[in-house]
Amino acid sequence: MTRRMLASSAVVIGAAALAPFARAAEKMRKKVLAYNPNATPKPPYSPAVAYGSLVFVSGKASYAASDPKDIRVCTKYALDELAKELKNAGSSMDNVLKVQVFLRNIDDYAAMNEIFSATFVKEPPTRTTVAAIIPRDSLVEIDAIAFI
Amino acid sequence: MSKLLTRRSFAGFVSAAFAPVASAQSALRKRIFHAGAPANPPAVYSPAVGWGNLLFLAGKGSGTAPDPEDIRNCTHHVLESFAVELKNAGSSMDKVLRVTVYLLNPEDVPAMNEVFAQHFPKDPPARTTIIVRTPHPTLVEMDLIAGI
Amino acid sequence: MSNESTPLTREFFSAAQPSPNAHIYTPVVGFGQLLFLAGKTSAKAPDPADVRSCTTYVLDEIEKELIAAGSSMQQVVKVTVYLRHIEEWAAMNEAYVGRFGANPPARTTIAAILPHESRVEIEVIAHR
Repeated sequence: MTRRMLASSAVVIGAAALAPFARAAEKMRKKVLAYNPNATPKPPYSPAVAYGSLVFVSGKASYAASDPKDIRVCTKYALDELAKELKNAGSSMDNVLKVQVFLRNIDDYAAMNEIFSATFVKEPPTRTTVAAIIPRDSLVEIDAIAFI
Repeated sequence: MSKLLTRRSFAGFVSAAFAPVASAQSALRKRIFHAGAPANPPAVYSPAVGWGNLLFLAGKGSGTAPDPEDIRNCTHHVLESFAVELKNAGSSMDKVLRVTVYLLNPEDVPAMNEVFAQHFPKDPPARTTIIVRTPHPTLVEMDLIAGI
Repeated sequence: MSNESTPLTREFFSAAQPSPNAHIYTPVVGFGQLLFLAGKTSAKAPDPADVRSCTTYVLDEIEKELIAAGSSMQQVVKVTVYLRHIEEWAAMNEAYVGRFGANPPARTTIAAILPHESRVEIEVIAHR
């Protein structure tokens, strides 16, 4: 190889090495998602937003659970809703990285844990749990960051 | 010259071409942004921290809103300051992926929603809203994750 | 690095081996170069009634997790601080300042009721 051929192959290799970055950067557009796009009233937020390999899921509250006063039923409901949203986004409960759990009553912690650990059986995600007042008198609200 | 270009030196050459990309990946450092003047004394936290394609904004409360007792005014104020912070960091409101809303009063949810929808008219971010108390008296505080 | 490389999967880390609550949650989950840490409470702090020493204890625990996962306090990008008593914000700040280096992460602080009657809980997102 001549020196000139070396130089031009360096340019080609360099450009080829950087191209995936450039392509990846161009492709980074957020995508809004909803497993139930016809929910009424239409909320002012998106149930899920995907960006690159990550998906951010909006909090799933338990006010519509079959028994909104039972923490176990409420926790199962919120996690089932989360699972549906993740599936719709091309993700899954196995791909969850981080979960935020908000409880109306901190004393519901153990009961919530029971359902939570029965759902995330193997290699659970990271989690932070605090008690706060949740809209619509919900007993629990759960959000998540997962990957696709 | 061709006799000098052994297979080993070619491999070395190729990996040297890829090295800037590989080291760029591993050297990915966080970047600090602040739209306003840096705080003096230095703030305990940074208003915006970017890393890779993600931007994390610190919680912003409504204590400095023109009318801190009015939830709509407060919500506008917080979202307008986010717009400035996002732009300064090379992002924008339409790249916001997920917002967490911290409200003082549960009755303020509908009014906050109204204003939120005005700032995110199309493809809004994922969101979780809870009722908590914040360090300085505020009707509303928010934080968010955006894409750059 | 390129789109053709193997797809990213989750990685799991824990400073304590085995992780005490392994059947419920994982202390640190990594994805690519991002690290998500579970909230650390001050339930086991030496003086659980003193918010300054609770904050120091929690930050020390976080630091151990970050190091075990190949990261550091300087590489934290976002922090959320939960306080049992919002009035303890200034005292918490005193113990917090400087712990993340010269370029501190973004932060949100709110008051909430925390597990195990903790006075403070802190969660972070960091990179490796």
